[in-house]
Parts: sequence; structure tokens; C-alpha cells
Amino acid sequence: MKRINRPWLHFLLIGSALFLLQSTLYPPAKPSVGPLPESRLESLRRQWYAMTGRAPNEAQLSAMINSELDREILFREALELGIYQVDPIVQQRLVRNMRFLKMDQGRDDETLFREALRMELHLGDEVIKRRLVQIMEELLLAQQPPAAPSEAEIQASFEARRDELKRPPRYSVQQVYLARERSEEAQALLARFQREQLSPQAALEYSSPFLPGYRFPNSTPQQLARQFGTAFVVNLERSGAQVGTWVGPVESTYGTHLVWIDAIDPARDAELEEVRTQLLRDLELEKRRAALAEALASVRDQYEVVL
Amino acid sequence: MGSLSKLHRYALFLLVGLSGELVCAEPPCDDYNPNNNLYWGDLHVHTRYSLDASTQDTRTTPAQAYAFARGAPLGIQPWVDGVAQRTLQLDRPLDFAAVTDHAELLGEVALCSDPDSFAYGSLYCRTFRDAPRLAFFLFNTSAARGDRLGLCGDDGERCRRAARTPWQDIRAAAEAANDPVGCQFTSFAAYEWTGAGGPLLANLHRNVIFRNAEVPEDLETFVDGDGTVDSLFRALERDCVDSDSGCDALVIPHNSNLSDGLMFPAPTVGELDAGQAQRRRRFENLVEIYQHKGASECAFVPGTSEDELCAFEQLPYNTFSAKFMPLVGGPADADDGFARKVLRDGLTYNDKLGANPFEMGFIGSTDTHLGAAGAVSEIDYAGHGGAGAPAAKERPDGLVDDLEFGPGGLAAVWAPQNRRDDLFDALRRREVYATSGPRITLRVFAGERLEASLCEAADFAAGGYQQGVPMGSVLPDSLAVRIAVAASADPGTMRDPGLDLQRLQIIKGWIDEKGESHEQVYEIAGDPDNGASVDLASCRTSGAGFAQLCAVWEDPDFSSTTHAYYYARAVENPRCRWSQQICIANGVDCSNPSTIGEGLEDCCSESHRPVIQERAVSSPVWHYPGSSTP
Repeated sequence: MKRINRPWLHFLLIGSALFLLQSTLYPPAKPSVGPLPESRLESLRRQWYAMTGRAPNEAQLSAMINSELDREILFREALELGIYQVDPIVQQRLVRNMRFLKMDQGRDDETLFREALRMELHLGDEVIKRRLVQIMEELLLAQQPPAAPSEAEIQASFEARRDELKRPPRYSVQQVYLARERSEEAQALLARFQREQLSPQAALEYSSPFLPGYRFPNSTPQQLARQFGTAFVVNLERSGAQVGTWVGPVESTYGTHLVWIDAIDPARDAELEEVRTQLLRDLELEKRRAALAEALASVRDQYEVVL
Repeated sequence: MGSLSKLHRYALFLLVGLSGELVCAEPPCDDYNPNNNLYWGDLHVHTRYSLDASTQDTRTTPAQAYAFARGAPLGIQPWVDGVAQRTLQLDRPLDFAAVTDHAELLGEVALCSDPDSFAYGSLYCRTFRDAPRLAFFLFNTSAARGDRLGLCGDDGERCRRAARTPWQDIRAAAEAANDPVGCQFTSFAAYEWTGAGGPLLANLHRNVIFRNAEVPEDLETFVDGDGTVDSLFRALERDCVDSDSGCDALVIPHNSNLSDGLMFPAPTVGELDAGQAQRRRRFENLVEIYQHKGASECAFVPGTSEDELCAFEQLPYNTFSAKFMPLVGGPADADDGFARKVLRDGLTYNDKLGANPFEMGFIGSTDTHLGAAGAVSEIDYAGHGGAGAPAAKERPDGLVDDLEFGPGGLAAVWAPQNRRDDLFDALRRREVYATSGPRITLRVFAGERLEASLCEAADFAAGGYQQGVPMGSVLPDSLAVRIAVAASADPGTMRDPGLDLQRLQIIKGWIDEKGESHEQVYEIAGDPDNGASVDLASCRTSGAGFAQLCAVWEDPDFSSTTHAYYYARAVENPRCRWSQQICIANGVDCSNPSTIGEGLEDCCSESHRPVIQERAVSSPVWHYPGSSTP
């Protein structure tokens, strides 16, 4: 037991205990960020106004402030890591700034770069800040890469977006076209088609020639608009068309049309396989955003954020 | 029926095809039509990978350009803090498109944009990033002289390797946007070969469009070859069509109006030999005659030409050098590469060599440098991409482009369905046509047996295919030439309504017994004096035209021993040009100088043509004496 009885050992043990005690009782103050200077707030407001044409409300402003403070945190982290010393874009930007300030005096890039860092030009340049923030975001994502979307998530998003993913209606129609100079015949002809229950095939002999044809199976409103113009589609949709009937007169850019409705497939929900790629792409983006937000939150925890 | 979705049917078809003896083929699209549907597209689109786009702060990626073509909104410069200050969106999506970035400098742009590249800090790259206008000039003149920049290494290998990354991105975007199952959109892997010729660096530019995903790893560029387009053709034979890989390519020249006659050497000047003529025939089935930088159909030369419609979107110079240095060039002459004369030269070659090197159909496209495929409306033209003006800096004041440029045109394709093979085959057989922007429908059939009553027939197309051959064809040997032309006006959209048609014409070119070539324009339907007009102070149009026009025409002077071509032109009623719309929107009144704001001076310049008549021009049909195909 002789060995324990050494003064230097006591010194070490007691010292360590005191050190532990102190850091538990008095943790080192977190570095603080914020608040944003009034000039920065003003420029955020101005940017918002330029983009939307109105002033930001309370919630919008506070979201902008938070994201601005997050950028500030990432910027500081990047400075801590010394990324600015090795990033070629930062280097080029600083050298360019030096030249712009006419401080190059024939010196080479490397010297100018060192000089700019010494003058701390990198701390005040918006382009450099944006670049370093981007690099930090990539680094954070690389440490915590987002998981690939699961089948269940794809299914859930498919359900949630049902309305938005709806497939357009499809019309199967046939038509008799009356050139502009024949527009007065339309009402009488329509009455006759309806009275005699004329088939579209039989009615065709009353049609003026129409270049795109007379039968348009399975067409979306957009496809019909290609052949007849938008006005025709609007007029047809307004007519309350019933399957197995003659509808009209429907006006278009070209003249008047009497339309036989073979079928109307109303707008329907999409099937999963039709939209899987789209869902996957959006989910991946969303996950990336979420992973970044999570990583950012844990970095933010190490700071004292002053609003 | 409803229980089996299209996709299921597709999968089933593949399974059956793979397991059975049958060669696997895709099931036809919903809208499959053996008599062909009409599809609209843009085969000339630049994105940020083109140096002359990126130096104007275009940030559009190939994927975004395709999304735009399919109807998505696109943010364009100026950019403020990463936010686009202008947004474009198509009223009507396109059916197909090809991103055609310049192959020259692809590698250079990639190297200079990639901070990890060895060349990033070089003088060239710093210039590229810091002084874009200077870089544009330096890079392009250097490439136009056939030299690689120093940063590519002595043999250019470094830039060739660097070019593979953007080329892979461009190809991946084309694959991702292509929709052979839904048949809603087709995209092609493509690039632009940016050649120049002669002391004035006259324009020899061509787009190379690939049939499918089988494409060469390395692009043949102007600087790799011997300075002639023949070296492009030989490279495409070697690396693509003769490589047994399934690779196939079309070459589509454009802006022959800026070629000083060098793009298509006349029989009396740069005489092509039979081999060169055959290679041209193999690849160059089409020429792009409408785009941002003017029209190349024909030239109007006051005093000598009769066809005033040729003044439409005619550039006031014959090479790009002459635009900037007026003393070295001049206004274009009909011999300077306009299609109508080139086609006549083709007939002369055919007479001499037995091969017509210029048997070309027509398409239009945009040449957008904003990645804005198919944005051809005169209402909201956003400019060529700054078009030489530094759009990178700020929203341009006044006119958004140089006065003589415009929104360009579209390629119209008659194909059974919207898939790569179908569209590519139609392009190759030239059953396609050009419009200067509007979606005018135009159908042409030719043959001695065409019935005079075809226009009254219920099904024009079925009769046309039965009795004759479609636009783009070579006529079988015949005793007469009849041509049936049907056109219908662009129905337009709510925002941008279409205009009626005014007239329908046939243009004939031929060589006589003495070997001299001629051309003539025939009015075949409509009314050139229909009284339709446009009010220059409001751009409001007035006067009706024709919703549809159709005629069966017989050549009154036909001789079975002449070499001849025929094509149709459908012309709209007059409307305000894009420039006039901006002038009016800004309240310019040329009689009152105080209303002429900054950047709007050109509104009142002598060269401003405020009114245009947009049009569709069909691919020609050809008649050669004695044989059906030369």
C-alpha cells in the first residue's frame, strides 16, 4: 500500500476531481448567435417584398430570422473546420476581391489569398458565406445520410396525394363539322340527328371536311384542345354531355360542331405504379430536407440562440 | 377492361414477348394511328452546359429543360440570391424535344465550373467565371479556329475526358424524360457540332440527334476533325451507324442564312465529290429553317426577287462576323445558303453525280439559350438568352433581344405514335415540316393519281396515302405531278388565340434543258388580299381569314424529263411581331420622341418590321426523271 501514499498521486486525483466538479457545476458558456442586426432584418424584409409584393407577416419574418441564424451557425462551424483555407471557390473569390480592391500589386494568387485571410475579408463576403454553408450542409448530410423511402411511406404518400395525382377525364367522341359559312344549319341539323336518332356514321355525310378527322377516342381535355382549341373543350364540358346522345352546337375556332358522345370516363385516381417514380423522387427530397433539419437541430443545440 | 391498367398490359406484353417465340415489341400507344398523328417539338435547345448560355447566367439543367417542355414552370435569369426573377411556362407542352448543347467547349465549361478540376484556377477558367463576355469571345474564336484551349493539353485529351461528365448528364436527362409507356413525351440524346468555315468564320453548325440510348462515349467536335462537316459524317459512320451497336444519328444543319454559302457548297464553288454527296444524303435529311437567328427558307433581295414573303425574319447580314463588323460582310444574297436555292443546287448535283446531296426536308426549332424549349409565343418572348446582351446582370430594359432575332419555330412531325423510333423514322423520311411558331396543321400528298376531289373527301389522309406519297418523298416516275395540300389554322390557347390562315402556296424549283435552275411560287388557295390587318397602335388583329384551306394542284408546266422539287407554304393573317408588342407595352409612339424610352430606340428604327405573317413550310417532294430514286 506504500505506492498509494505518494503526494504527486494525491495531487492528480484531487485535481481531477475538482476539475470534474467545476465543469459539472459551472459548464462552459455556449457560444451565442444572434440577434440579427436591424440592417439585416431590413434587408430580409426587402427581399421578401421584392419576391411576393407584400411585407412578411410575423410568422414569415420569424421563419426567415431562424433560417438566417442557422446559416450563421453553419458558417461559424465551417470557419471552425477551416474549410475556407482549402476551398478553391473561396480562394478565387478572395483573390478576385483583392484585385477589385486594387490590392494585387502584381502579387501571385497564393500571396493575395493569404493576405485576404489576414485581413479577414472572408468573414464579410456573402458569396463565401453561401458557399461555406452549402459545404457544411453536405457534410452534415454525409454524416447522417437520409434513409431510402420505404414501401409503406410510398403507399402513405400515395394515399395522401390521391387528389393531386388524379388522372384527367377521357372523352370518346365523334363529330360532324360545319364550316363557318354553314353555322345557321346547326340547330336544324342537330334536331334532325336527335329526332331520327342518326348514328354518327350516318350523320357524317352532313359534315364539312375536317382535317384532323371525325372520331376522337379516349381523349383528355388537353388532347381535344389540340385538335379543336380550348374554346371547344370549355363549351363541350359546359354542355352537360350524356353518353349515347348528340350534343351541340359546340363552337370552336374552326366553326360549329355537332358531337356524338360514345363514352365519358370521368377523372379517376391514379394507380400506384403510374406515379411511383414521382412519389419516390418527392419522398427522397423530403427525407433529405428532414435529415438536414435534424442534423441542424443538433448543431443548434450547441449554441445559445438569441432572437 | 378497367381492371387492367395500361402499365399492367405493358408488363404483360413484355412477359409474353420475352417468354414466347415472338420478338418482343412494345404494345402500341393509345393514340396509335397508321395514318399518322401530328406531334410538336423543339430539336434545338441549349442549357447551362453550353458556354454561350452559362456565360449569360443560364442555370437550366437538361432535366429542367425537359420538364419545361412537358409543361413545368422554369425560373430564368436574372438571379438574386439564387432566386430567379423571371419565370416562363408553356401554354401548350411539347410532345418531344432534344437538348443540343455545344459539344465544343463542353469539356472546357465542365473543367472551369468544377472547383476540383486541375484547370479551375487557370487564367482561362478565371476569365470564364469573372469576365463571361470576354470568355465567350475568346473561347469561341479559339474553338472556331479549330484549336483546343491550352488547358486541354496538347492532344486535347483532358477536355475530351472532362466532356464525358456533362455528356452523361445530358444523356441521363434524356433517358429520364423519355416516356415510351405513356407516350406523352419523347426526348433524344443530342448535341450541337459547332463548326465554322472561311475567313469570316461562317456558320456551319449542325445538331446531331441520336435515335436511342446507344450513343458514342466521346462526341466528335469541330476541333477534333479536319474542319469540314465531312469529318463529322465519317466520325458518325465510324462511331455510330456502322458500329453495329444499334446507334443511329441524324444531322440537322441550321442557320445556313449565316453561312455565307459555305454550309451547302454550290455546284460551281466548292464542288462535292460523289462520296461526300452520299454521306450528306446519309445523314442530312433535314434543315432547320426557322429559329431565333432568323429564317433560312429564302431571301428577299429588292430588285431581283419577287417573293416578298421571303423578307420574313430575314437577317440583315450574311455571317455572324458581319453582325459585329459590318464592313467584312454584307446583307444576305439568295446564294448565301437559303434553302430554296440550296435545293435547286441539289437538283444540279443530282444531274451531275446521280446523287442529290441536299435532299432535305424542313423543320423549325428555337435555339433557346435559356433551356426554354418550345417557348415560341410572340407575346412573352424572353430573348435568345440575352442573345449577346449581358442578361446575366439584370433584367434587360426595353427590347429583350437584338431587334433582328425572334422566338423561333417548331418542328412538326407526322408519326403513328409518340415514341423515339416512330419520330426518328418520320424525321428520316422527312414527313415533317417547319413552322415559325404557330401550330398550323399542314398535310401534303403528291402523285399523278391524286383525285381532284380529295379535299372534299371525308378522310383526306387515308385518300392521300392511298393515291400518292406524303411530304418528304421522292415521286415515282410519272407523267404528271399533282399535289394535294390541306392546312388548318392554329387553334391557339385562351391566352394566345390562334390566327386564321390567309393563303396556301406551292413553291417549285427545277432545272431546265440548259441546266439552269429556276423557281416559281404558285398561289393555290386562300386570298392574299383578304383584307386582314393589324392595328399597330394596339396590336389588335381584324378581318377574317380561313379556318382551313385545301387544294389539289396540278403542275401546268410539268415535264417528265426535268429534275424538280415542290413544297407547300401556309401563311397566316398578319400579327404584331414580339418587338412591336414590347414597344406598345412601353407606350412607344415613334412620332413623339419623348415616349421612346431607354432600350426601345430600335422600335422606331428603319429596320424594324413591326408586322409579321407567321407560316408553316412543308418538306418538299422531289421528281427525278427516269427513276423513282436516284
